Amino acid sequence: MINSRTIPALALLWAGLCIHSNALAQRDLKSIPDPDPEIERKSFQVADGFEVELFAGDPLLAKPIQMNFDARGRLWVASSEVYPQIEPGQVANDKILILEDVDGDGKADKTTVFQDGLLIPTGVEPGDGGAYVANSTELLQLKDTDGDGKADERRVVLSGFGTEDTHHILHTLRWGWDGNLYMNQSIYIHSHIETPHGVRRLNGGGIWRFRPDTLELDVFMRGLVNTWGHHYDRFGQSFATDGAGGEGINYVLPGAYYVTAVDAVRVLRGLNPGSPKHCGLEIVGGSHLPENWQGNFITNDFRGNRVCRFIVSEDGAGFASREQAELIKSRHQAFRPIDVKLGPDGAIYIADWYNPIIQHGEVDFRDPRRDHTHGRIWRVTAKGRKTTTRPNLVGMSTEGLLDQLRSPEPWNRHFAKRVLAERGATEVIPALAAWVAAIPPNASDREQALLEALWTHQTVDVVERDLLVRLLTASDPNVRAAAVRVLRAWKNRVDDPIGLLAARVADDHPRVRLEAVRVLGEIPSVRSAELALSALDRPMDQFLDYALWLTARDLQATWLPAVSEGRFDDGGKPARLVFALDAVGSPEVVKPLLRAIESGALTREARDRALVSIASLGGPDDLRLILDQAVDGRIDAARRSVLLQALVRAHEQRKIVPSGDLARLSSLLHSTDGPTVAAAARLAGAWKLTNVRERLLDLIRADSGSDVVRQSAIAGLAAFGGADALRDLATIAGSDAPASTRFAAAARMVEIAPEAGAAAAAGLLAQIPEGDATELFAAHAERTAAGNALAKALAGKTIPADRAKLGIRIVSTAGRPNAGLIEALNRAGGLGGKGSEWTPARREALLAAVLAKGDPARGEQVFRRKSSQCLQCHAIAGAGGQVGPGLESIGGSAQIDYLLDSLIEPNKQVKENYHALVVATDDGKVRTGIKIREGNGELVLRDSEDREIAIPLASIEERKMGASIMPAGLIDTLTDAELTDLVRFLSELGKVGSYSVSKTPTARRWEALLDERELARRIHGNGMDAMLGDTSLRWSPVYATVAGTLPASDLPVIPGLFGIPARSVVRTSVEVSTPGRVRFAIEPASELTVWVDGNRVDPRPTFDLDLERGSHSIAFSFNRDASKPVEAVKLELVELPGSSAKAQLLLGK
Amino acid sequence: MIQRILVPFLISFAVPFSSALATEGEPAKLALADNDRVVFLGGTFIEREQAEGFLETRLTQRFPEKSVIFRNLGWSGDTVFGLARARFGKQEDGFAHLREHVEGLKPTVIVVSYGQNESFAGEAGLADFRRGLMNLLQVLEKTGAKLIFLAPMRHESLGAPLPDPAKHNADLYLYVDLLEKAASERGHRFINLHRDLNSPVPLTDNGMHPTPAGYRFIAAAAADLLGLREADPRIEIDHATMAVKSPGIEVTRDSVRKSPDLEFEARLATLPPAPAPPKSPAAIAAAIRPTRVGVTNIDDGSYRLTIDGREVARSKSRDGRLEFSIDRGPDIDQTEALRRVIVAKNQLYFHRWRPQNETYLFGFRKHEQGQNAREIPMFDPLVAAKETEIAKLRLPVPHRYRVSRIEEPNK
Repeated sequence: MINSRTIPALALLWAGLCIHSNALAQRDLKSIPDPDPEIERKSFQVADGFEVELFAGDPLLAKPIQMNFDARGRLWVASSEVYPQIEPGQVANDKILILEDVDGDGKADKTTVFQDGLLIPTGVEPGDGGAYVANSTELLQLKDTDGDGKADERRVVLSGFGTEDTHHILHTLRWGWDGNLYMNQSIYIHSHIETPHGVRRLNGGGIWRFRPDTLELDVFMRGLVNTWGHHYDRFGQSFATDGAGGEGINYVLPGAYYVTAVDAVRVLRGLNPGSPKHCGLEIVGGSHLPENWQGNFITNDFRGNRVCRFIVSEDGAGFASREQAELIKSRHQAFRPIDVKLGPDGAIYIADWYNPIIQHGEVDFRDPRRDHTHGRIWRVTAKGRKTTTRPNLVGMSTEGLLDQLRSPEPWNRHFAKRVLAERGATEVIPALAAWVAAIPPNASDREQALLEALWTHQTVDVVERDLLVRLLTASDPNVRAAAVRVLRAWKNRVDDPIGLLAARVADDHPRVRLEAVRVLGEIPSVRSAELALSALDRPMDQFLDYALWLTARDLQATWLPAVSEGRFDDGGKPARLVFALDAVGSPEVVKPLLRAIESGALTREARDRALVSIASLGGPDDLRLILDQAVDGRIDAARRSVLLQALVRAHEQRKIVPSGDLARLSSLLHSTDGPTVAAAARLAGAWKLTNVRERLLDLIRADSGSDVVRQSAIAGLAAFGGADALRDLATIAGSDAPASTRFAAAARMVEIAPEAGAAAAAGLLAQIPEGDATELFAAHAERTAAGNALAKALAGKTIPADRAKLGIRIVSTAGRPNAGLIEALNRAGGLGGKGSEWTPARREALLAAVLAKGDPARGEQVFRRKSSQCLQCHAIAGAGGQVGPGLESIGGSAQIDYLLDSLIEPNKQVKENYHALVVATDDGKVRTGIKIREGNGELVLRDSEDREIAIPLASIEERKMGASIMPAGLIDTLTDAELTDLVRFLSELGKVGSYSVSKTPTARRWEALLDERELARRIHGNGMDAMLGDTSLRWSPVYATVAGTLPASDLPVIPGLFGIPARSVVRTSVEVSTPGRVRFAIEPASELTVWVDGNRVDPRPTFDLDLERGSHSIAFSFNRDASKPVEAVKLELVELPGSSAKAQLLLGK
Repeated sequence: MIQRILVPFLISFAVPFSSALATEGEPAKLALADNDRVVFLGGTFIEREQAEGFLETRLTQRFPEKSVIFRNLGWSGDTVFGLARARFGKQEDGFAHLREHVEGLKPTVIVVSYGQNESFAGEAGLADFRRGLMNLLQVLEKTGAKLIFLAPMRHESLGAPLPDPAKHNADLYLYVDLLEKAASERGHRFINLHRDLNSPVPLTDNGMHPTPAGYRFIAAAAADLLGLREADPRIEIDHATMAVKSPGIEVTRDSVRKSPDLEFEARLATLPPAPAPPKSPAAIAAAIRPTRVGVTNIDDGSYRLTIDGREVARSKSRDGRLEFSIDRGPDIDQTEALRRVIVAKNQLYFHRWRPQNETYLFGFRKHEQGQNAREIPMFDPLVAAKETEIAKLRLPVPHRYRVSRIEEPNK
């Protein structure tokens, strides 16, 4: 009962809340946005020609996680209010809801609770008379047998799914066109599922393929961080998105390993490196959507509050993907689009999880800002276009359903097949035969219709060999590829599957070859391996190469014994065998490789590949052969260098030295080729060829030598060990050689005598302000005694502040951070160790200032400043260090307090997959880094300096999970004002506005030519054109701003000379995977000199080039003395209609 | 004060009941004592039992006076190596977790069921299995607990499209045989579900794992194999002399009245088995042995039996003899209530020992969300509260029985 007095009071209070919310929704940490759906809807910026309406919302619906339609057009939603963690005493009462738009007006008017009492259900897929539901450890089948819309039967279909992280548990349930139920799990999950076919295990992320009728379960792919989206194109090719990976659309190659896959030796990359993370995936089409939206990929950047769109096109055996302008973008902080599905009316439906807080690793489970009660389904339609008529599939005759397989509406095709699946083989097969026979021979969709028929056979599990054989030779390669995949499912049920695959391995289309190669990998026989490897006779690309590599490994148990027994038939092409042997990477391949080389029939490339494999696997006698080759005067420098590198690795990783006369190496120390000399110098040290000492000293002293040669000679010298080497190194450290040489000598001294080394190092760090001291610090960080000695030696000395910070970063991220050394560096660098001054009051004040005063533009400058060291480890849109998470959408996901806390105390919350691994090795070193991969006898880490370190598994004594690799104290030298700006900048990243990364591929990772001694004179003498190819020039990485421009003020200036103006020179590169015509756009065209692959190009604002497959360099030079100075430069790849070329700009560090 | 007598009565006539067993002779009787701690260990078969609770309920109701605690440590896909428990670690870590969890519970009885998953490796995997089993036994024996092997049941043949299990069963037999020998050598109890389950209908829907009804059947069979078979509870009353015989049932002596209706108060010694789940096959539902009430020397006619005022059976007397067969009523409801509390307790314990988000609570990301780990021990008092309920529910209570004649007006 409400009396007249309370109404105005309540209204006033409500109004107050509204004002508060509207004004402060994005501002006040303690506030949450106004949950009114209309306010949220109005925040949407929708793609031209589209509009968004609310289909369903709270209170009928809370926290939708996955949604799927059924054949009746009802929308099933898995929802959880318990997420992220059940509280003691709480009754798990999560629900599967059915939303129904009974009158077809585009709004749900009926909600049924199909099942409650669930615990964090993360997936629902209707079918088989009910629905399959992912319920934490179990996959349930729930059925409504009495037709009241509520489940009354419950069956555990599979159990044993891991729950180590509740946003990783079994999810993304989805029927394939082939009648399989595909299901995903994410990185932390360890699942052990008992089936009548045996136990199936999947540790880490991946996609499962499951047939509910036969209970066959297998792993379709492994890896990715959070595989929260999976869908199939019209021909059944799979694509996945990753909610925590940064590579956009992933083409799913059957059986492939992707980033984070446990035990992956080699991984396949996504198609959009540097793209933000995505959740959900739908490949859309149908008559309601405009022509240019057919086959488009729709997914959600839930961090950045965006619904994204990609166009995927053919690229050899695989695909290329390009991001387009968004379908929806918003600054509404609680808009969390996480699933997307095409509806029965042809409209696009978006599930909005609605939450100002996402994630529970980084944000407390019980954070009061976490929303548990709201949720929306949005319906997106194209303005002025008719929605499609919802078909009554359930009531249709079987013949009618078959006709729907030829419908232009993808929704109808899919759901007709689902209804046919439920009618079963007895009902469907006779009608299907008649339907196939009735397709007119000249129908334009004939092959696609036949493919649908083939899939229908697969769905009802009746083998139809004739149709399969017909489609294996269809004229459309996409249909042939799909048919090969069906053959995989029937490989044990049709005669001579290998015979059927033979022609497909030699198919004209690379994707058909790829599919055939993968199916052969599942038929264990020598013949399958021989046949698969014959794919090498035709052009290869990265996808095919990966597929064949997988197959060679999968079949290793069959063909490898055949090789040693002389039963393997390489068809007279030893390169096939070399490829396979190389893929295996275990010592038993050495002998067959040697035989292949002796046959003399190998191409140069195959021979080098074989030699490198032998070097990495063979024993002393095998390595002797490599040395024979390397010292052979007829070999060219590039090949020689490859072989020498392999010998260096053989010693570093396995301590293997060739047998026979090693002194033959010394002649190479006089080579004119730098890489040869460098490798030979290292080997001379490793092999203790002390009689070349003088030559090494000469190399170190030579003015003309490169840094690489000098440092290799120093390493070689140091490897001799003992008092002589120590004396030589001390002399070099104290000489007037360049800083890098002296630093390297001191670093190597540490290996021999920690105290003497530390003393020399301390002197150099204080005396020489320039030069990179990374290796010098690392040498001390890895060894306790050396670290202690350096701390002592630094007492009373002063070193540059930036250098001290570098040292602190390296030391504090080492396996056993040396607190004494960190303190000594703090003191020597005058940093004062401000880290301890973080009081709650200061934190609060700073948080308040971020929104009131923080300036994102100034913040970006702080971020980009070398001394801040942000880009050392973090990339934006793929450009920058790869050590830490990419930050392009951090502002969309992280609250300001999280951002500040992560800067103050990096260990407080660590992103998935960014936990360090701490590894102790038998040489007494402790290494720390992010695991990149493990396999083939080595563990590869990325350390805090973005270096890849390979550690032989045999040398590892202990390993444990560490915390963040980001050291504390990085922000100690920033003023509070700078910190305010920096946090503000980070908080804007990924939000709609100036700090969201543009969809146009933009050059973000550049190199700038460093101004060095005599450079200006050399340019003057030789001209820039000639200089560009000079390998002795030194370049340093520089990165574009978020907006994609490279500010001139951040670039080194090469001074003018003799009337030639001062200039800056930058370069980047573009990787072409499918050759063709590529269009570039540059700014400011009128001010730039442009070279592509060293050749000048007319600097027009846009220009087209025909480019071959491979890497192409693009360089800009521009005047720094001009009266109207260039402020920034920019390079973009522009879509060129009609061109089949696929190109990507360089990324990384 | 109500005086009660327990009338000892050994049935001298054969009682018809459907036996779940194909064995001969009476197995030794398992005895559970006060403060026993029973741990169930194994793969999916054990793990799913916790959500059904039939076996645990059967063992609980059989010892109503004993304070026994049951903990289910089943883990899908597990092997004698603890393979499924490794999580982020190596295989050895899986076994270490198994050991830590078992030892932490200080068990006095361990029901262990392995071999099914391992058996997919066929004959070639036997040596490995033996090695793992011996290693596991060493650990389990060290706890001092009584070990009971529950050998895996046969892989059922359910027809296409599911696989033909003939080959797997041949392999599985080798593993069961090995288990049996190991148990006998080391003096452990061995329950051979592989051989001794004799169900007229499938107990699984995938060949491998019991349905709820299947668990109901297996619980009865396993209890029988453990020597826990009880005489069918029955009450015999001579309406002429009012003599009462009631094996396994305590009838309150001065509660018996002859008129106007025959009435008495009785309490079962142990609760009847839990009812079969809804939609169970008839053969499994029939496996429930009902309580019987027989009256002799009574007038011919139709009668109803009510318990606490609720009608539970109707019958007609013939030649002065009336017999009721009770398959519902407050005792059966109480068993079902007991089973539900056991399942609820198991669920709470699951949140305690295998909580979700372990990575953040206890794993390598505990520095982020480890503060929430404090919630996990808060499940302990909730589990304890359920144990209190179980202790109460496992005790049968007296009920008022009343046999009254149904008047047939039109006759």
